[in-house]
Amino acid sequence: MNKMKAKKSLMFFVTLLVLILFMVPFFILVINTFKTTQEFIQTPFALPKSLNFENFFVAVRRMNFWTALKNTAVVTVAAVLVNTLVSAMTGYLFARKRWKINKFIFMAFLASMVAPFQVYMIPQVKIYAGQMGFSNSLAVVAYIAIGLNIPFAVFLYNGFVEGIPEELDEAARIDGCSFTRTFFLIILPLLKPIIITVTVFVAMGVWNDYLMSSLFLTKQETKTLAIAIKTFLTNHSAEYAPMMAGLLLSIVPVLIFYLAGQKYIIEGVVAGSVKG
Amino acid sequence: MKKRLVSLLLVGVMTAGMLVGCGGSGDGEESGNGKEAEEGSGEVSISFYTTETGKDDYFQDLITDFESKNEGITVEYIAAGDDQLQAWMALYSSNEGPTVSLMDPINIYENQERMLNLTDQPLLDNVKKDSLSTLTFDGKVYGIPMSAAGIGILYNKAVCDKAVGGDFDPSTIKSRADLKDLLEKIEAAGAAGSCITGVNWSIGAHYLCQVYGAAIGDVEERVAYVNSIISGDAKEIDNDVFNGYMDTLELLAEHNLNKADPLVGDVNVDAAAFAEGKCGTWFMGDWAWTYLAELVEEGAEFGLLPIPYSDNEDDTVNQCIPTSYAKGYCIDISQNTEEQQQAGLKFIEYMSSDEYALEQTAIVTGQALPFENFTFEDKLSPLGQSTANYMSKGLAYDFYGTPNLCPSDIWYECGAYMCEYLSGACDRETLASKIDGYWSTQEAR
Amino acid sequence: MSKQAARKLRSVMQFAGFGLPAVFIWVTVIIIPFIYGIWITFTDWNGLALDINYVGLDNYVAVFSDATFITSFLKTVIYAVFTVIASNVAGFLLALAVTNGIKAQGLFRAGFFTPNIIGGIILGYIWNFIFSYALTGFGKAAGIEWMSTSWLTHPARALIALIIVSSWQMSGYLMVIYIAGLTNVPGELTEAAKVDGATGWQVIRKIKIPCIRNTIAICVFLSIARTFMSFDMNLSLTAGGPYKSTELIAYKIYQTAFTSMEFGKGQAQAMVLFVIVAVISLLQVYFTRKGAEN
Repeated sequence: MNKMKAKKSLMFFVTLLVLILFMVPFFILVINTFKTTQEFIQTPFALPKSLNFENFFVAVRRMNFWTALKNTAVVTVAAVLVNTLVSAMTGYLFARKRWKINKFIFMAFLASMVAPFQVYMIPQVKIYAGQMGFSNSLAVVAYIAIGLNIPFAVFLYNGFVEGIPEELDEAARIDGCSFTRTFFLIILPLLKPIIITVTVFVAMGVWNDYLMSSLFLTKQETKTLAIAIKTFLTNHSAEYAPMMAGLLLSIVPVLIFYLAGQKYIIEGVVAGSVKG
Repeated sequence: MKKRLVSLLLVGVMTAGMLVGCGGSGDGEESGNGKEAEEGSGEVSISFYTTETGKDDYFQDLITDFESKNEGITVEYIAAGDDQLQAWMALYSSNEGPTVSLMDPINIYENQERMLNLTDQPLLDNVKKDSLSTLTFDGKVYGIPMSAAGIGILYNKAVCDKAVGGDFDPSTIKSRADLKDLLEKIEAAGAAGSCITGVNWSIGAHYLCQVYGAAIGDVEERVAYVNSIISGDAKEIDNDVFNGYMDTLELLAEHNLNKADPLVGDVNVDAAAFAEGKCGTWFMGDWAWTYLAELVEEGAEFGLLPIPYSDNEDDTVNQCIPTSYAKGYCIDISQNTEEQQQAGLKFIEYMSSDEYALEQTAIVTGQALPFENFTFEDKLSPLGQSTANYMSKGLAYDFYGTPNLCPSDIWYECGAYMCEYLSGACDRETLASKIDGYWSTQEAR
Repeated sequence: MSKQAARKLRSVMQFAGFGLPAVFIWVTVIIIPFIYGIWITFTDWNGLALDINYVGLDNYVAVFSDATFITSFLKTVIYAVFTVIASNVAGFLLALAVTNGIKAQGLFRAGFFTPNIIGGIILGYIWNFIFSYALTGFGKAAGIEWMSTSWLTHPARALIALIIVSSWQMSGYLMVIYIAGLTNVPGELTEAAKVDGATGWQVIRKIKIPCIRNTIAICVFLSIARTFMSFDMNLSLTAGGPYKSTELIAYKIYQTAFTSMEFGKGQAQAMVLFVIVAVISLLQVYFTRKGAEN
């Protein structure tokens, strides 16, 4: 048993070492938020001379931080909610009903995931902003974010549902459950780990999205965090110190969300083991 | 049962939809009435798109000042990120084409069908005529320049003083031989002679385009030369000007601070080295003050040197610096109403003549401004003053001379060839033939 | 109503309820603009011009006669192969490590994932500093020739740097999916195997990997898609340099469309890329799934 323990702690330290290596750029980011841009450029790897929070205040002011945070949160929450619901249902349908049309749409979904965004981004702007007049609308940005993430989410849900034995569905049907009920009462609870995973991906993708959002959101009051941070770009260079502070501020909510989500995944494992 | 679930689902989707709607509705409505509803009421709202990045505070301050001086006009500020053309394209695709855009002259030229002809506008009287060459197409003026950017070899006076053993006089550099002498002296005094930032925009656009500059002749001759390269009648490698500038580049490269790793170029790192005196000179331009301002010690002196392309002291081009009006204000007519265009004119007039605007522009850009009523020479950066000095002595020429001399992607395409050459990965003949190849895909000017 | 008709109706209702919302959104957001995008490839539109002219297949002809497009594509293939393998192996190992019941799992998982949360220009810049100054400082001090100049100024090493950083970032991303797959492997199976005396490696090979076949298919697909579309990292780490030697295909397309203002040509390049990658990745998914079914 001692050998097991030794092996476990060795494992722990190896993983820890890898983690530290992984996090180096992140540490560099954090220590440099306390420096001036000059200090960063001259000594990017040194510890800051003093704990100076000036960059954070500058970032909050110049990025219009609170407005941008609110906009980002609205878009992300809306996109994640709708996306989770519609994609999980479609993923389930595609996994359980192998109709020709489902197979076809599924493949089309996959294909659309490798379509370079550039092919349809300007047309998107032309249609939604140009013809329908939805420029600077957070709702449209959320709608497009939902659409862009549907193939990916359906793909993941579908793969996960396929791993759930179909006997469960059959048992439910014998008990008199309809297709819809089976999904909401039996399957959905089992999807918890993958829902968290997909939510994390979609949320993170939408939260950090620059390209698509920037095509639609140009006004100061509709900017999201990823757009607002560009205020620190100068011609051929950037004001790195406040930019890093702004970046750190923008990712803190995502980090917290992710850490909280982790807890759910672990709980999900416990709950999921019932199904065995 | 099923029905209830379905309706529950619908409610869920709708709630989510409303959530989205709530968040966005306020903004959505605003943009809806932004352009039309205010017509006729004397109120007009316009938008201003700038590709001059990192100056948000400055522009927003001037917009506030402009709005207070022009009752009834509101200006919406839109700043580009690092993707100026894409963002501009997106704005036009949204039918939100900015009323006023601050763009590179080549972009205005390529889209002149969308722009207001400013030729007969009174505000032009305040603009110096010689600053309009890159903004005039077929005799029609489509833009107002922002400021003059001088390109050259920056020198750190303290380092140069030490090298020459006394007071360094920049006007003594009249030929490549003089420059060589200076670089060697700097090196003998313990610093690197020069510094080249090995990035495509610096050596690909600023350095390379001198090859099509005043050394070729007047504007017509320059265009003719470019056309002969495009048609394939002439080859770069046979041209003395091309070879002259490449010889000078080699001279600079030989004394380059980054010689061991020429493409490691980082403009901030190089600025710090230059300010500290690790190198005596730096190929850049007067805008470099934005990188230098916080680094230089009080009282330290800096200035610009021309880039000589030959050993001929009598060739004044060797004593001239190229100046570029790199950005111009233009007004859109394709997606803006008459009233908005008029308001846009007022905005440009303000930016190019208002005392406060000019003062702020001088401070923020640090560069000389081409306006008749400009009086804030003392507010310019030391480098900007150096440029202004050359200009006042007549020792400056217009970098491009015409709006479309060099294509908008030359910095990227030929910049790669120049970097390859600088790093020693290809010889000059290969470089010349690659540049010829690039031009051969272009249309005659 | 006959029984068959009733079943048919039920199927239609199920499709309408479960599939239609997603399909509707997807069609309006991706497919319609995509078709619009295809139409642009047959024109000379530069993205801004007021009038648009048809040029037939000229843009496609230009793509295939452009040697730099092919070089850039081949470079992307090299980049993709290495990045896909490295990030999947690393992602899988990380997932194994953090599902093994070690202490502070949540923290580890979050830690490995952070590279994905910090995006864009800053990350590229930090790595740029690491390759240009930290590693070179080390190389100079240790007297190692190939480490004393920046990796990013040498064509081959710059591509390696790009592969390293991309794998570093993507492995954390794939780890999350692998975790989801691994947690789905029935605990009884692995326990039983252990009781039968299987070593840890055997458990992984004989039980865990077969159980997560689907997950592997998903991860390989996602990594192929992401590497072929890789743009941000390319821009912020090397910007295609030194001298365009690391200009991957998505970056090249972007430059064609938005720097050279040849929008139609850029669209055509993107379409060609799309067809190639779609074929590769759909085949991959098809075969892995077929394998899983057997």
